[in-house]
Amino acid sequence: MIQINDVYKRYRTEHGPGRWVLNGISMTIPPKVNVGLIGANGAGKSTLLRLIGGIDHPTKGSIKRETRVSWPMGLGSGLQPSLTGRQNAKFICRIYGQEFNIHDRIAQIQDFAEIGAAFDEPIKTYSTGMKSRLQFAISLAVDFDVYISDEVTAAGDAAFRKKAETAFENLIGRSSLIIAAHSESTLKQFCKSGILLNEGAAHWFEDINEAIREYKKTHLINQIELTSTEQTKIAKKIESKKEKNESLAIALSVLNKGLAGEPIKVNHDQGVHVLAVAKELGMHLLGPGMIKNQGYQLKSEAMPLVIKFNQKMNKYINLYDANTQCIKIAEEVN
Amino acid sequence: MEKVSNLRSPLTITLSVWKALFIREAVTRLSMGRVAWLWLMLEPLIVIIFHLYWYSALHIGSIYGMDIAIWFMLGFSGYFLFNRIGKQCMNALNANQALFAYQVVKPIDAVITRAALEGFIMTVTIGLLCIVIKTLGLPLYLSNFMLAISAWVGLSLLGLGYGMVFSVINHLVPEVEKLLNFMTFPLYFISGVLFPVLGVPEPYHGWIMINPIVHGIEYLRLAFGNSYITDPNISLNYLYGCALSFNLLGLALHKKYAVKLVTL
Repeated sequence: MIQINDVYKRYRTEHGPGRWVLNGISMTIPPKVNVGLIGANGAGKSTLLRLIGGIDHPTKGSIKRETRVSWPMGLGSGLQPSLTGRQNAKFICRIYGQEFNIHDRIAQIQDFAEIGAAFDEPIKTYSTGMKSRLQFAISLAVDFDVYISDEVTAAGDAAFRKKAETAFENLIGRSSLIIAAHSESTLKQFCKSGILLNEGAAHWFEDINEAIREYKKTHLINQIELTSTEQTKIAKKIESKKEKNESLAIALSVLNKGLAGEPIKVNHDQGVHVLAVAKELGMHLLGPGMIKNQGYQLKSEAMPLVIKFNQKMNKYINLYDANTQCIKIAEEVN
Repeated sequence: MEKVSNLRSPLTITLSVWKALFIREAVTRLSMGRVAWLWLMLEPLIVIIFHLYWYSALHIGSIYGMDIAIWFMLGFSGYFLFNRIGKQCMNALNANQALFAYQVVKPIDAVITRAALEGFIMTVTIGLLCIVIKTLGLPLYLSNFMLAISAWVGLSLLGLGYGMVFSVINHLVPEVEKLLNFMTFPLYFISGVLFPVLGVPEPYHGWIMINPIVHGIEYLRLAFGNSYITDPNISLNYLYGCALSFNLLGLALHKKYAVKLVTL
């Protein structure tokens, strides 16, 4: 059981204290329940996870943990740069009292991280990906009652993500999870309950589906809700056009990412192309209002994807899933 | 409130953290770079030989009934013990910042394990120095073992307390570290390492006796020589009192700023 009592958090910035990221959160996370954390970018998901995982402390309020809670996995933090991967792994096993079978644990970590000979090299020679793979593997090798993960799939390439997901499935029953994720399918796959974060406040939902529904209501989530036949149709179209030319391929990959709900940044020319290709494919690339810029307009109908123009650098546009920020810009234009 | 049974007790956690930190520190300190361990031991040896050289040039063979080489060796060892533990503890927080990501590792753990490791290294060093001096045929006799241990532990605790206090202060006010560097430099001269305190005239003698390191070093010398004459006012109680005060103050600071030390 994890008890969060009236927790406030803000970070220090160069201009004094920043805004309140978490604004008086109180809730109890019951034991053995997998929880999904939902919220727009910047809603404070990572901050809350860091606080629950104990790697950061609230500005006000307290968090009581009566179980063994992991640190947020796969971030690649908490590794000593001058020591090797093996030495770091041993250190962490030791502080968590897993000394009696340390050799098995180290073997397990080495096997899972798949970083090869680098395991015996100092951490400072590692890439970011290698660090997060190692840290993820170490987290799994230590017994916790609750594992915390910021984006299950943040660490490593597709193959590693698959592996991580399998590992999470194996944890079910033995330990519980608290994860932050953007992907609806990931949340539905792993979580029973949900926490919705919105403007520094948190709401608890027994049922993750309710939390997702609520999130969509408040945040106009713009994952394109296509029926499976529509999806196959688009996928086929994308497939058939794939080899025509390079810029088309780029546009298609951007759209694919957009479909997955990831924020994408493309340059201006690419952006124009993306819009054209999307139109050609019969996808409605629409914003929450009319956004006038660079000579083309977006019309509001449904809300699949939003194109946000970066105000500072005109040659960039951002393809975002709509969040409040985008809506504000749209309102201003209107 | 189920599943409390598999939580480890605070003592078990602390002990496992200390053990892990100790091994980690030892690995970094002794295995990094070529023959790092050799340099650790050579440093005091070189300093002692250097000072012996110019004192022998002044034809000073013994100080208050103690052979000059042994007098220097004990003085420097005592001072190095305090100074090295203090310095290591002071920097313990910056060097281990990444590890405070784990809830079980507290800043105070890093300070304490560093002191333990440094104390261990210095104990091995003085042991080796004694062997060297013995093989050179100098008159080294340990006449009061318990007294030697008391002085040695007292100086270590003093170093730990001093390091503990400034580990917090340096972290909160980084400018203090620069000040401290040249403030502690004269400490070397007023600790009875380079000249005997008994020869210092009043009122300076009284001032020097405020320095608890003097008490530790003089007791250490006394333990190695029955005939050594020193100030009758030296007191182990004073040394331990100072060490205890520093340690309590350090613990209080660590407690008070527990959150600030890991979140800055």
